[in-house]
Amino acid sequence: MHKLLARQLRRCFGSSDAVPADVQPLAQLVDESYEAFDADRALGERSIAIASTELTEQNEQLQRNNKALQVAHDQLRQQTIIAETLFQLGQIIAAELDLQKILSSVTQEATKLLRAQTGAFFYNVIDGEGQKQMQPVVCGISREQFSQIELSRLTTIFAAAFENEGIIRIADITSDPRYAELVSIAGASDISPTPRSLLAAPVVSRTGEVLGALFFAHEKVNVFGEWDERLLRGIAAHAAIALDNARLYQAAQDAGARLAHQAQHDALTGLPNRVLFRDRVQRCIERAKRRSDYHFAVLFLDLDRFKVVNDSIGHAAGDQLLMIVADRLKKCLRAADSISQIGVDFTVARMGGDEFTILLDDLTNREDANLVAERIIESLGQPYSIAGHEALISASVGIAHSDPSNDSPDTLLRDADAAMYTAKSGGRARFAVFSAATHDSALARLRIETDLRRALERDELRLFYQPIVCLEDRRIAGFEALLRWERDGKLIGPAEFIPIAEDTGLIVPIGTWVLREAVRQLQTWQRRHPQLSDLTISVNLSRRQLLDPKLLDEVRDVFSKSGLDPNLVKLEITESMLMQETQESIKTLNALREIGVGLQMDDFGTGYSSLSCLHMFPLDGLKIDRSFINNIAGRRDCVAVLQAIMTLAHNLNIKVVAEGLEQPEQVVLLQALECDYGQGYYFAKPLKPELAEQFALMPPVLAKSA
Amino acid sequence: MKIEQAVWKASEAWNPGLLSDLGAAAQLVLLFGSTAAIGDDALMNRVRSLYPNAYLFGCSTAGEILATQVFDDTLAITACAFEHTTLRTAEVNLSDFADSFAAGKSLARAVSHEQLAHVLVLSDGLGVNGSELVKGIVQNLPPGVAVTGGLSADGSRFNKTLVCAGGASTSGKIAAIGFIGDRLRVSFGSMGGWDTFGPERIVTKSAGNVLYELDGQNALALYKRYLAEHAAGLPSTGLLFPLSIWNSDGGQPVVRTILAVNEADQSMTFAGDIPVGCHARLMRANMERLIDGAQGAARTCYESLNGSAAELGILISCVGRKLVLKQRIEEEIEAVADILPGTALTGFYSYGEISPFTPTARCELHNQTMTITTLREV
Repeated sequence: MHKLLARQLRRCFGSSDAVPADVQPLAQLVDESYEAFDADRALGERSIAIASTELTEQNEQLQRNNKALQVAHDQLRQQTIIAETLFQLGQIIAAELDLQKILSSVTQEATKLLRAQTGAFFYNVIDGEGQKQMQPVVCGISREQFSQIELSRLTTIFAAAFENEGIIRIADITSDPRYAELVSIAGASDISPTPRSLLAAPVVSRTGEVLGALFFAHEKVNVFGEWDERLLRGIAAHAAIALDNARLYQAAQDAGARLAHQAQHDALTGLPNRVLFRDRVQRCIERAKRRSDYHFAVLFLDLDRFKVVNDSIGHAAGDQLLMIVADRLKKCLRAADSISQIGVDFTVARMGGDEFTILLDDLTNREDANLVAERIIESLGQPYSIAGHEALISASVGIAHSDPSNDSPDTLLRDADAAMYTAKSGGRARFAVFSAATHDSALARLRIETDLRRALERDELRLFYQPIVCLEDRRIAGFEALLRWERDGKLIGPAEFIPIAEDTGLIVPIGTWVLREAVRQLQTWQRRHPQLSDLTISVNLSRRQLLDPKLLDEVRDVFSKSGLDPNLVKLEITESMLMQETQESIKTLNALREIGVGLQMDDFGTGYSSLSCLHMFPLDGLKIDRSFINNIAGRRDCVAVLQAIMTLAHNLNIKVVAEGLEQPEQVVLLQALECDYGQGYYFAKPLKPELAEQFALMPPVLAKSA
Repeated sequence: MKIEQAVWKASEAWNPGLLSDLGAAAQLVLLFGSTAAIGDDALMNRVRSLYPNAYLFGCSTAGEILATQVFDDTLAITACAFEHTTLRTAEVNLSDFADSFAAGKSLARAVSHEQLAHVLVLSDGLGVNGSELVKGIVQNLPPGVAVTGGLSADGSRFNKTLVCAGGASTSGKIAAIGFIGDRLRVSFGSMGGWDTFGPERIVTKSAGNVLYELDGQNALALYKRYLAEHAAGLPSTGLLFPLSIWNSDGGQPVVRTILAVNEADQSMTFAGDIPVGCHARLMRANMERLIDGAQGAARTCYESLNGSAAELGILISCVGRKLVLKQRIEEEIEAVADILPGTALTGFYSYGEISPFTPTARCELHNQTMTITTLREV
């Protein structure tokens, strides 16, 4: 029974046992109530106590969480500081061009941030000789103190450490046996206090190259923590960018200087180029305006037949030749100074290709330019030894003198160029001085060049046909197709335009046209007159054509399209071409023979007249030049030579054609020498196609007197 | 509507003497009794013989309510003769369905009618997931029709609960009555009155209505710590500390009571879902507040009655309240009767209450509340 109820019952009834029976159920209910109340209260109090404990625990946990949050917050703040510092370093690197200043800033900021006493940044730079040089930037230590440290020993120690560990963080180097040597190095200097904590990192470029290293030290032990290591990693990355950038900047500057030089100089010879040359001429022009006694000259030099040489010996050898030419030019101009007392300043330049220019500054005599030109022509005329071969080449020089009315370098260059052409057309290996006449002829030449480009499309080219007669029976054996240009209603001979066509390369399409037209003409005749089925046609082949890689295809195409027997076509090649030809062109000649066309040597007797060479080429014909024929009257030696040529040619199964036959005696003589064919005014001049057709149809006897 | 009520006690037989006035006129007899009484076929047959046309609808309880009294080990009957209302009844066995939701759905479909005014449901109190059952019913009822009711009980034994539908009482059963007609006015209210206390916790491990962990700690151990010597009385003593749970999205808290504990896997089974991620806080009783709560539920009902007295009030209150209020239990019934004078009251102490908190709220399963449904024909 609940104590309280027992007490109450005792008070009411004297004793709890004395409770009347009818009150007992009530007492029972009251007892239950009291007990329940107590139990409820106990349970309530207990649960409040437990909840309170739980809340206290939760509170403690919250406080712990708070602390963790505070730590995280501090770390975040630290990270923010690092990020800000790295950002500032990035800005310094981006804004500052002077490497020394950048690295000083980086070292100082890093020393401050890492709370180090001393900081150092060793970095490699490439010196003028391309050698790596180690440079130090220091902070918290004087250069004098620092210079006592043997950098090379330090480098060796750390190179190995970086290799193994990347970033090095040492709590106390004095107690770390790996750094005993470092301690001794520091001890040997008067650096005080002696560093104990050490933090160092290599500075590595994007390409993995070690560009340098950052070092930070403190006299206390265990100064640098994990955060400092992370920070240093970022700083090292920034330093690497700075060094990388510095290198790129240096490289860009070098490249700029190189480009500037390249822009003004010729890459092959190292001579000034057109740009620089024009500049110098311009300066001379300015000076000439101010000083009436001042005079200068521009020389324009072109190597004769260089294209031929270049094509035949190869471009590499051609380049070598140009370098020798440049060298000789410089030498003989320097020599001109001392030997002939010309006393001029000069500039030698290469315009491109085989064209060189020379500026003779402050000439005392106009004629001195001629002396220089002569010396140059003489010097360049000496044999060249290139890749085991000996080559001969000449130069033509044009001279243009300063003229007060002339204020453009280009005009002077153009005049010198025109004079050079005059010299060249005068027979090469000579010089010419520009005059008004030179100017006119140069203009004329320029006009021809322009018009010639259009001649093909305007259908202005014509073929004339000169008969080739069999000397034995006076039968018409064939014709040589000869090119004329009908320009403004006037016929122009090949001498006036073929050299220009050769120079400009127009000769290649023109030559192809000639072959097609000649073949077409021959076919037309043969279709009309079956008795002319043996008639042959000779066509001149230019040097440029022979070197043209498309020649064989063109020739094959002509015959496959026309269906004409290739045997009826003879291609004429000059002696000089053959003498200079290479393996490549001999292959082309053999291929032409395989196609079936005949090959004739033209102009025999104008050059080397090397009989010994005849058997080297797949020739089936030989044309003796008119100049040789002109000389034979009354010259026994010439006759003897002709006799020898005939014998040799016949032995080699080569037919001989005598060109330029004009006199009956010449015909008789050659007939007597058993020359196979004759060609010349004696028989007929070059004929228009209609006349040639009629001529071919005449009986042999008539042909003689036509 | 005509109503007559009586209570049968094993010792005293019927009181008042069972002289039925309604007899064959009664369409419905509500029966609430002890598991023994409800399971007593002879007793049931006796009731059926008195009201031959009535549908017998009831369940086992943890205390029967009749008028303003609370009884134990009795059978309380309330016979109703509706004038304008017909009934549509349905019953299902939980074992025939994959889950409680499906059972609820089936019941709702069975009682649905175009003039359906209200649904009263009584369910097995131990084998059911009350939350899912309510969801299954609510989602399948015509719009605007509410459901109220409760889970049957077995004293504080948590051993065997029975539902009586049409006179046959079995466990594992859920039964429902649909009230059909447009002249029935239904009102309801529900309120707890428990105080939350102690730390707020998060449900960290649970499965449906089975709770394992709060704040990563063993939930059963926590209960035992609070119950101390009362832990031996689990699961019924667990009712002293119901759990208030709510979502973090600001929904109204609901109260959950313990149905069972499993020492093997250290789990606790509650009368409704305890989803992971919910906030949870222990609750404890304050007697005055519990009584105020019951009165609050009655006031909610009264407010929607528009001044008219209800004819019948069905009170379903939680066994946990009875465990706490003990001798004072009838005070909460009296508090209800004060608000609803002239209304015939019946009902029972349950293992779970089904009702919206207010007539306009969503219907939910509650624990530890007093839930009142009033009926009136007009």
